Amino acid sequence: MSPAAQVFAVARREFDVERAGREVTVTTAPYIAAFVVLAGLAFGPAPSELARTAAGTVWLAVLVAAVTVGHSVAGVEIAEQSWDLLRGSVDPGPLFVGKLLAVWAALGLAWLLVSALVAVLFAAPPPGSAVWAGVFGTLGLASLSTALGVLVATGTRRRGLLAALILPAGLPALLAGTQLTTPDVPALPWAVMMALYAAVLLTVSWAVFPALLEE
Amino acid sequence: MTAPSRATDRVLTVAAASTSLVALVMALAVAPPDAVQGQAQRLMYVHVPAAWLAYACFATVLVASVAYLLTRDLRWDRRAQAAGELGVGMTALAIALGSIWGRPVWGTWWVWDPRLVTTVVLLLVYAGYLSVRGLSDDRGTGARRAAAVGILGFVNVPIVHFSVVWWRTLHQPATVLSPDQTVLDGQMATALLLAVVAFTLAGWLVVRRRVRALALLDHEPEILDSEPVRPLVVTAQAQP
Amino acid sequence: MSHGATAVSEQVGSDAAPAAQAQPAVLELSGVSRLHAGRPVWAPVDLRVAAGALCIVTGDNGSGKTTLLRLAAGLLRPSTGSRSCTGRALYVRAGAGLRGVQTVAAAVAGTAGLVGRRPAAAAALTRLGLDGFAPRRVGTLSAGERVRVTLAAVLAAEPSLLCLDEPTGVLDERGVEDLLAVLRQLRAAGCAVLLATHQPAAVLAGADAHLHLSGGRVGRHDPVSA
Repeated sequence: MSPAAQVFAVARREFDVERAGREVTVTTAPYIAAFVVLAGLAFGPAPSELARTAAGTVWLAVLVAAVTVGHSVAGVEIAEQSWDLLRGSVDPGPLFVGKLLAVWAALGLAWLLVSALVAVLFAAPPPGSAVWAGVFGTLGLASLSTALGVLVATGTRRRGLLAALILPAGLPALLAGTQLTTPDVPALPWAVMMALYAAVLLTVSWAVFPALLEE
Repeated sequence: MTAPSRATDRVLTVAAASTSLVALVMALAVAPPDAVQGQAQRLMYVHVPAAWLAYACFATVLVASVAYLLTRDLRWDRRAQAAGELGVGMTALAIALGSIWGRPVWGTWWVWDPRLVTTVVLLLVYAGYLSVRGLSDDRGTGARRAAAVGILGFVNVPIVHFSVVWWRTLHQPATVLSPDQTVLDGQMATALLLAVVAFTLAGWLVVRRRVRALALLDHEPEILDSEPVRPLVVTAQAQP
Repeated sequence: MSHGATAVSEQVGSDAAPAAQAQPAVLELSGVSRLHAGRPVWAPVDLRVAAGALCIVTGDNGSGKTTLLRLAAGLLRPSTGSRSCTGRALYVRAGAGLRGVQTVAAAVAGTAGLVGRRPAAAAALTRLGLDGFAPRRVGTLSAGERVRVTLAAVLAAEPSLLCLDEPTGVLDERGVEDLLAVLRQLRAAGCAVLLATHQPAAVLAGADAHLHLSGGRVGRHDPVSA
């Protein structure tokens, strides 16, 4: 079976499971919606304050979503004892990419939801460059979530470490994402940085992933 | 412990102690107080070497982590762990001293300077690195996870740094000068250089001793050290 | 195809019988041991399982059956020695492995799909008489039903080596028959099977070798009777 076919099989299984159980949707969507509403209460109600904090709110929400989504990468599989069969069936590379695609899709949707909520509730429509951040920022964070999600879930203790590991490493996505989502900021340097961030994290996560699978 | 490593330890101890002593005299008695910052500036002789040693430790973690993943030799993992522990301690020391130094000089405990932010992120990343070792009961599993975090954390550092630099220049530039942008007087420079050498030697010694302590914890049972036991042979073969 | 007693009469430490080299080995463990919390779980073991062979693994709780099976399947890295395996090895803890939220049909198809054998899923369910379960969610099945559904997924996936952990505990008579039928079919297709169990009586009759783990040592049990 070719690596591409394995990737497709893993991704398809992820989407089938999500369609059947809505695990990620149910755990992530209400969480980030509450996050945005509470951020509005914390920073508002002055329209100028809301407009100033809108972009940062979007990316803070995406960052915390990366933590909850990261828990679903392998945590649920291990709780249901399906992880061993999955690992045995698929090679490490395709397993990483298949899982990554699912996490990327989840984070991309989370970003879309947060952007829409913030645009409406904060009355701050994002500039076009926000889309670049939405694509590459979520890819970088998805790489982190996938690798670190497996790392933490396959341990026997300290599951809460996932947030402590993802949040500091997500700093470039937060800064670049915030700048790309703020109107009238020169987009090019930040767009380059975001793409570089995604490329570096994707490559390194992929490279260390087989070592994380070994027990 | 082998004789050569004891001898190296002794040389390192003497060298570190004597350099520290000279550096201490230079820093406290010979070098003049700073014209602007006064006596508080003498914190530099600990702050800068601590930060330097921390960065050297984290670079060691990166090299040792890559080497561990390539060779799967636990000696590399022990080096990575020892360097990581010292690095976290030195980072915390550098941040604390910088904050104490900054208070009288800048009038504030903290500024959003890229170097400071990057250093704090380093502290968080490597505190996570050390925590990851406790995720599993299996020694090798913990080592592999830690190595992965050691590599992921370090490659991310330049991106973190540049993103904070750009973020900072976008808003108003820092109003206070970073300490080492001031031109150093000759005696100050000598004292600082000596302090850096003293910290490096002492750090090297600490890591060496810690690696040996970790090796004792890792001591593998005799069954693996001694002549291998003749294994039991079981063959399952289908009969036609 | 009958699987008789064979090649288990060597003494501890003796070389493998020449006959053992006749068939290609699917799994070959040489001098393999695994440390747990700094102690070896069992003494080093050489295990060679040929295509189509069934090796039963018994032992008390904590004797390391699961460790041996997961290591054989490639999920655990050996602390000493080497492992080689041709083809795909699956470790299955009986009754686990499928996602609870999916229907039986979708879960079995998804699992078989991971190894490119999605179309075989429906036939495997039919073969085990599980068509009635197809629309039910895996999470709503009883323990015994789950084992049978897992067996269907394994049958569809057709691995080269199956490491099946504790399948007999919750099975009724019909379930044990299904298990034996699945094992026969897999072995006929050349799949080597390592099976850990606390109830060896039900499966020993068809076994080719029997490995007993006890007190940190590996022992060969009495030769299996045909």
